[in-house]
Amino acid sequence: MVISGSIKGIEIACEKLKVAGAKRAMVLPVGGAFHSPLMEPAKNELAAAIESTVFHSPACPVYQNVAACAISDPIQIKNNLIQQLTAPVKWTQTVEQLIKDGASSFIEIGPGKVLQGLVKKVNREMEAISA
Amino acid sequence: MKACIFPGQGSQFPGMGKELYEINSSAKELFEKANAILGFRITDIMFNGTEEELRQTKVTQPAIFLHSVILAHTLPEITPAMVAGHSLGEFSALVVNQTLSFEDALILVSKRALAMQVACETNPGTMAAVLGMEDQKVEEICNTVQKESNEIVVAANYN
Repeated sequence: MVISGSIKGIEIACEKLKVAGAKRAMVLPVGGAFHSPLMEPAKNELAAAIESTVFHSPACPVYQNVAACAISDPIQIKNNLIQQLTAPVKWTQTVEQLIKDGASSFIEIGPGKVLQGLVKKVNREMEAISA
Repeated sequence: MKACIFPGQGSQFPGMGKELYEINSSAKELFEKANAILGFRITDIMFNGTEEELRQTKVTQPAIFLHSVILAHTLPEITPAMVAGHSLGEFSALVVNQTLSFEDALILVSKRALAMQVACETNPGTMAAVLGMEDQKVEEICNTVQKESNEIVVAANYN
């Protein structure tokens, strides 16, 4: 689990989490409070850009971060992309839903191998590889 | 069923995409198109830049997006039945499932990165990884901290 917030808020939370028994609570080397209400100022600009872009009907459903279920409606896709800036990434729930809906192998396309590790965390037996 | 998944920020590394550029001519063409759209040679930073240079927001997000989408473009035999992307990776997923064109998605990713950069300057903040505690308990503690201190603290990634 990753938490996000003001610098002071994260500092207080890390202390409390450790006192409450968390094995670790460590600040990450990131430039800001992504996926939190502190990203609100970025929303208007992204929303305007998304609204003026053509979104086609997808060739296959996308399981979006804020919904963690299959989405195929371009209007819903747009809204979810905008909401994502200030909402949590429900990655574990997304992987669980993909598997529930019939995913039998995962292919990670891009730099690194973090996501296949997270798939394995949900289901150790699942095939998860790099492209 | 095959699910294709696309990474987000944090997965960048110096030299990313270089081999792809050198061995595949259509990949090279797309990278050059991206340089033209962005108005700077992002490939120079991806292939030869330092970790520090790669960590600039205006670079990181488009760099990861380009690596994912161009790699996918060179693998037409991969036809997913479902796609998902982590944070910024959602834009890569939407190119591969043909919702967005390569060009439009790159412009959106670039605008998103710049808007987020501005938000970070307006509202300074950070993130922390929490290990060894139930999600629900972490959420409860975040809520308590918010109420007691009036500072913003929320769950940002379930993984």
